[in-house]
Amino acid sequence: MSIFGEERKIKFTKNGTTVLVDHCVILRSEPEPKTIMHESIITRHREWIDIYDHWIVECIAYLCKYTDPVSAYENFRQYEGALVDEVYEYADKFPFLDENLQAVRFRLDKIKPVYIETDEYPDELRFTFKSEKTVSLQTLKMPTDIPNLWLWFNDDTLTNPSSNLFQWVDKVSGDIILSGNYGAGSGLTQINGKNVLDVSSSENNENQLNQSFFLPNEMTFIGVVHFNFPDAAAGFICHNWIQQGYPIQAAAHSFAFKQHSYTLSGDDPLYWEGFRHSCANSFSPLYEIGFAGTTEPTGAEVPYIPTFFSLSYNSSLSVVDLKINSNDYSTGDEIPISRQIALILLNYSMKGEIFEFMFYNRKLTTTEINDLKKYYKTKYNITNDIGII
Amino acid sequence: MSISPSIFGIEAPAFEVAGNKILLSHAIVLSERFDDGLIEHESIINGFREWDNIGDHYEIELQIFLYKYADPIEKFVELKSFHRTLVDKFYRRADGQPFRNSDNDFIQFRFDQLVPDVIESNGEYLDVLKLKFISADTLEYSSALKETGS
Repeated sequence: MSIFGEERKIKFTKNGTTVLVDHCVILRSEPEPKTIMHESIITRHREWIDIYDHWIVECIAYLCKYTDPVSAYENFRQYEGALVDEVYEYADKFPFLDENLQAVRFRLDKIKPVYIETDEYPDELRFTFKSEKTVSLQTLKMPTDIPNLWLWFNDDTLTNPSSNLFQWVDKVSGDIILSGNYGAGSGLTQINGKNVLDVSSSENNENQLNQSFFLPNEMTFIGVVHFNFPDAAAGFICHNWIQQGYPIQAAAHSFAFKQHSYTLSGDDPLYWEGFRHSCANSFSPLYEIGFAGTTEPTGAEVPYIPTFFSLSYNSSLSVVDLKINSNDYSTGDEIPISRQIALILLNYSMKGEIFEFMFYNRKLTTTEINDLKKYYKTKYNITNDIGII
Repeated sequence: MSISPSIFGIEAPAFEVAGNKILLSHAIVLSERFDDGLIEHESIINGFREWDNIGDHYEIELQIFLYKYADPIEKFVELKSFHRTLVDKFYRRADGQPFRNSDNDFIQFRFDQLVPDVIESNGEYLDVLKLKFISADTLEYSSALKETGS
């Protein structure tokens, strides 16, 4: 079994249509690097400049094995010369991605009808896909056997078919139903029918979740993957957060991003502030991610300011530690996550390109954590260790 | 007459970065290229020849049977972190010596290629990696002798 996937079969998508190249043998799938090597004519010392890495995929489909070879051929032919949106070498895993983890388009360059040299000349089709731009080195498959993980991808969709229902369509896990009352209720209460919150100590505060803890025995949340944080003006909000009494232990956070106008009972709209440097609040050199009103919270609103995530990092901004603060915004005390929750902060890039973290509803084993570390180090080309708490 | 084992060593290649020696075990050598830096001048009048030696380069292509490692992902991650970088030392054989130049200084190598591939065995696809290392400066082939250097 390959570390990149199990189903080694070419698949591509175009405008939402998925085409599986069945009865297929991959002849070639490899980078076509463009690297310039300079060699001194005096000393023969060499230096290299890496410019880009295209990727080429060649495969053969045994057309003769299709039930209806003619229609299969016609189906494939409509994509000849087209730029297809995604190409998969392993149909069960990831398409070829660029360094920003966006799918790279490929030109289906040629579909050549060839044949096997026997009496009946059975048909084959030879496909050549060429990348439109640089392809990152192949992405490892996700570690297996780590259940209860959902990831948010850029092109996941989040719809709001009713006031109390959000539907998150996750590329990996399929539909994830987020149920709860948003805007004027208790917030998220269920994910895929599973309770995410202990409602026994509801505080019934508008726009707040009722309780701040995950239930260890429930399949709770969740992962967030979000790239390119929206700025404050973008009006993104996180639909689900909690208040917590300080210094209660871990906070429960679940997220459902949606551009949304959200008004608290007071005058301050809350919005996703994204990335906030908070030297003024004694967090330095920490960075915070969380929510804030348009003005500093005061009075009765203070308890409702959601818990902040704080990031600390080294001078190269490559090793990041993450802690969850108390909701006491003024003191900025930090408390680590506890309650059988493992959280992995995967990477943060100062460019704001990648930020990814996940929650599990249980403490991961060392093996699981190491597998995830390896996966994400590969995925993001992280050479330093990955912060985990 | 018994056959002596290689004077360059018999183990798989290896490289070293910041004091960490990375073994490239479960590997086969796909190709080695001894890039001689000899320039031959031949007189067009009388055919007299002279030679300049401007130094030799060396490159090697390997195939690693990734699936043979106890933790293939870990090995892949380890190798990927060095891809397209200059490694401090390269051992043609791990039990031999790293390549050096004529001044006995270690030669850096560029970890040039890391290409995932598969081999098919009984209907199963097994991971292999193709690696390529290229010397960044000229070197002495003989420096890789087991008995050379320290």
